[in-house]
Amino acid sequence: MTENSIKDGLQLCSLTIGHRDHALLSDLSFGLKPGEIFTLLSANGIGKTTLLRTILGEIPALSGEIFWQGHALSPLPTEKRHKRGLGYCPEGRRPFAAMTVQDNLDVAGPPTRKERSQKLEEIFALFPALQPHRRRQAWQLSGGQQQMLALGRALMSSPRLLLLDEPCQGLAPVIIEDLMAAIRKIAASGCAILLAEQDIMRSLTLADHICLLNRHGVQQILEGATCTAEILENLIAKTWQA
Amino acid sequence: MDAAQLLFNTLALGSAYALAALGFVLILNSVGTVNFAQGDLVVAGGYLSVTLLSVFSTLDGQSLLYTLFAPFPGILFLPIIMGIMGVLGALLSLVIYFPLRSRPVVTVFVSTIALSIILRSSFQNLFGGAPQAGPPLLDMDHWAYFSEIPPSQMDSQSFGVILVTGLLMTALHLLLTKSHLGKRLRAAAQDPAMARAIGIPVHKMFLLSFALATALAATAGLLLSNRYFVTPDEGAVLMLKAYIAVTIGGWGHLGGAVVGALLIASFEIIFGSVTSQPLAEIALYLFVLGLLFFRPQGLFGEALGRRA
Repeated sequence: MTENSIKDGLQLCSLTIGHRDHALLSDLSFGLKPGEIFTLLSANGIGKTTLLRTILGEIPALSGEIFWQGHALSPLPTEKRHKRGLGYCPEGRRPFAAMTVQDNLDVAGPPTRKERSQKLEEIFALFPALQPHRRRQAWQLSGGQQQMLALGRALMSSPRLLLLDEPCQGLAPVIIEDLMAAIRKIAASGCAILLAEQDIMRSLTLADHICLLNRHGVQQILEGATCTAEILENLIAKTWQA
Repeated sequence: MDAAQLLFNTLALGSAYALAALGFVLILNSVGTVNFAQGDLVVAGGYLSVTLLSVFSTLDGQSLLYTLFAPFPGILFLPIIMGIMGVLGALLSLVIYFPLRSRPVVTVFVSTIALSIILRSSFQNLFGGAPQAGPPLLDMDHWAYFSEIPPSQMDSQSFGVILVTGLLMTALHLLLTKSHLGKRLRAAAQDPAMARAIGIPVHKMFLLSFALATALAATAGLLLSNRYFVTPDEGAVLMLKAYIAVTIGGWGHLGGAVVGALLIASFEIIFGSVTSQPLAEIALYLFVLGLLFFRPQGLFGEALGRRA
């Protein structure tokens, strides 16, 4: 591990990801502290989703290591990483379509009934729009409601790190407002959030750190507070010239 | 036979088919493969009940176990058969499914066909070709202890079969819809990768699906073993019945499979009683063809794409 690595959060150490022997992103090294929102910003097809799935353990890393709370993740399968506090809200939402809203949440909850119903009420408090639909099947929900459901499902296990893949994609502006407010609340509760995003403005409003990715790996990591849309646009334009 | 009797028998036969079909759907939904050995697992349950019966009848007639269970030997065997076959089903999945799960689905099809052939030959070698009778669920010869007028043998068998099936189906329904474990089973079946990401041990869920499916198939074998006898080659026909029940009901639909099984039984018994058995078979397959023409997704199936 590097010298300034993070002991209680997520730390990537010269991580190279991709599929089989085809590397998508090389030599990724950055860290995430608890309660921090860290945005991966890039165009489509660069490898944001692959990176999230590698951290989750669905795809093996090609080289390098991922440390979570000081422990290497590579020996652990996905369900064990979940147990260590990783939550995943996938691109395309992927609710369990033939199950009710309540069952979608319940199935992801802690082992005892009491803890589950308590978490369930917390989720409905965070997303009041889901409450009236709790007995409907997930496929009957609108896109925005499904996104809330997917986010709620990830929160049922009280994760310490949330891998959030393009949560606002294709949704109405009003709903995006609600979702962003919810994401801020989740971070405020101490959960680290690694957010894949294509939209510059959304990245700016949410993130503590913005990690600009290009075809080779990390182009630059910027502080959210001091960054502006203009700076980002200039940097992205440079990528295209290169 | 009067109408009530016919209905009763239809329900009883349909119940047994339904259990076999339910096991078929459980595996279909969870691991996405057709288990071509499902019919032979029904027969395995039948032979297990025949074996248990022969062990049971060597017991001392004065012993407590015998006195307690002689009026309903089948009921005593039910948990034993479900337990043994459940464990066996899980073990079989370690051979026929898990080593092949990353291969194309067809590979698993073929391995279940292989299992089917192995089972069939084993039955032939172990038990011979002659039909054998399993235990009755309720043995009327012993009911004199309980009442002056024993209920008629015919009705009471059907009654026992319907009762046992009803209880098992209710239990399965409650398991899948109300319990946390059941919800985890369904989630693992619908989207295994997503299920793992929310901490569900998907392999264990699949193992459990195989155990449940095999236990249900074996129960069907026990229920059929007394009235319809057990023969080594019965599995092929039963497999076809389960397959058709699931096709009628809607591929992957649990309730639909039960309705499909009842429909098949009503063709065989009600239609068969007014015409003849071969005519009833022809009518059944014509009905299935007609249904597939007008409603290819089956009675309760969803048209493709609605779930997306």
